[in-house]
Amino acid sequence: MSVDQAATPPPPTPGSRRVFTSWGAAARWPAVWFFVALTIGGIVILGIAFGPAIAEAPGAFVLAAVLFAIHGAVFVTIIRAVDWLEPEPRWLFAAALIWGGFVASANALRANTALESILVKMTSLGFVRDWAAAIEGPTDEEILKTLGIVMIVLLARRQINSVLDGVVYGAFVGLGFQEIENITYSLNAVAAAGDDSLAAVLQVFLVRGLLAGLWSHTVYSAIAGAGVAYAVLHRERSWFNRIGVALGALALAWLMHFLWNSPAAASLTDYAGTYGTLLVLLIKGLLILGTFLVLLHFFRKDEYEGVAGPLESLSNPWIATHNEILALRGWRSRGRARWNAYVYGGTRAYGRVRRLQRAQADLAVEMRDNGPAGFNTRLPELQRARYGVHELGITDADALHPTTTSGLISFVLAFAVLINPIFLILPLGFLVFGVARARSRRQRADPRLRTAAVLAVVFALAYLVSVIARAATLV
Amino acid sequence: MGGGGSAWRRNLVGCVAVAAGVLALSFGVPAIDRAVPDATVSSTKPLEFADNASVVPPPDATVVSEQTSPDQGVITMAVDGVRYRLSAESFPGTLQQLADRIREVVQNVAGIQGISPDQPVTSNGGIPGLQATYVGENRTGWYTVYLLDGTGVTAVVDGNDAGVTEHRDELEASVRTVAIDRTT
Repeated sequence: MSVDQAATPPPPTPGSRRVFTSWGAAARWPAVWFFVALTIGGIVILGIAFGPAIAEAPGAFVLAAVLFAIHGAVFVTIIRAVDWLEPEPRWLFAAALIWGGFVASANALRANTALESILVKMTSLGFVRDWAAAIEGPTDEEILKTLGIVMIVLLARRQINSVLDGVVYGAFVGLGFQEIENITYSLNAVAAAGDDSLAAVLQVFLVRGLLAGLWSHTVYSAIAGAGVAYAVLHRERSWFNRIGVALGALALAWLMHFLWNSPAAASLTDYAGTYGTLLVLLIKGLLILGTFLVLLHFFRKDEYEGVAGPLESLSNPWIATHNEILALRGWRSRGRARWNAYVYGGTRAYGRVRRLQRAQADLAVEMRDNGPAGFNTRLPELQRARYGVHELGITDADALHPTTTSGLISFVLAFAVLINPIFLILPLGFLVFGVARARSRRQRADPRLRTAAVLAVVFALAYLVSVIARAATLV
Repeated sequence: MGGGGSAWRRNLVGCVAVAAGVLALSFGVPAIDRAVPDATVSSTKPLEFADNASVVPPPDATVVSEQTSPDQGVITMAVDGVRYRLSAESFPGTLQQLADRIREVVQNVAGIQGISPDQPVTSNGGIPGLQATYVGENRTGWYTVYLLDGTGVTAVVDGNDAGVTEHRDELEASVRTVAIDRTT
């Protein structure tokens, strides 16, 4: 399906991230009403399907909702970090989540049930037992989620400015689907256990949230989203090329989902025990995630070049120095530039460099999309941010950093927290000492000191959660 | 609003296409399912309805596909309107606990008037089991549970009085053919 730029709401004013100028303007577009109607339909289907299960086990439902909301929030943070250069509107993110969670999952429930029934009628029970999940899930679910990405395009075509935008919206559709599906799996597990069992929910969270969560619907739909964005953006290409790429991306998403659900290599796990099964799952998952990360690297590079180009063309160090433009490239380099500022001038300097980076990215995006008008709109904010940084004595908010032995040791020691959380004190000690020494000597500090400390805290929290989970399971 | 009207129409066309895709999957696939006739099964050889459980179906049985979930070890068959549902699962408890669980489910079905005490039964392959008959308003049936090495099989026959009475012998014969594989 071809979606022309003209077939979407009018362009927002330069500098605005609003999808529609007003509620009245939104109500004039069919996409809004179709979206609302399909969402209501999805909620009704899910309510009928799972309402009784929720009434039977309200405690388990609440626990599942809270756990997977937290799980989803972590993913949202990661996706927002990927999307940092050109943040998409929050309402559109919400729309993508809603489509995945309510429209796609509800209708997939109906389609999957019917497709399994057809397979039972037309094939053997053994075939259905082994292959139904691999056939139904990818076929129904990937199509329904991809239709959601197309719906996002219909809601706000002008928010799709790079292939990465499609990846991001696709990821949000997939995330919505993934988390609602996780909650419904929890309810099924509780029903199978026969009571309002919190242990069944924790087990689903462990398996589907932690073990399988990284290479699930979020990744599949992100790939499909890249295809939709390509078809929307590359209007200079032939219709055949654009649709072909979109369908190719959908096919890749299907293949990834099929690989994960398929019983391929299952016979190996029959003899390999629990660890062998986990190993096969890990290999499958890493294959899927690895493919996605390679593609993501190129999509991000493409978006970065679209943003860096306008800034470089200005050749104006007051707007952005060469090192600052380089620092905008990824979350690590942006973080390192802020880390340098923090070591130099504390949290105030950290915040001001972050504000400068945001202003630089916004200005570049506006220049790319709206030319000189966009530049003029964003310039005052950038100037304010630059004054703020300059006031603290920072002339170049770069991401250059030293690599030290203490940073390396600290990083290694962070893993000692996995053995005993008491070791948390070591990376934290290295961090405090390293920052203090760098400040006293007016030098930069190794960012691995910070990474190690964060890693150690995460490991300590994971240890704490495991202790709580074990206690809850025993109860 | 010449250009605006055109954009609005194109937006509408796009939305109709998306909605059509959603509805095709949500209603079209179930419609195809309803159009495909239920599959008949052989009454002479065992049907493996779970990874490690099988049964020889009664004559003229068809698989009720929408109530069958092979990956969960559940199969529902129909014989002349009588429902015959088998499920296999990992069960850590005792045979009596398995029987008590299905008894509670049957008792909670609307219209059920009475259930007989559990009677010991044995499958053709020597698996110990328990069985009870129930009656309700214009319906009757019975359940049978077997347990072997932590795998429980529950068979429930349910239908109207006339149908169950007519096919009782072949259904009882089928229930006795339940086999649980020890090796898995």
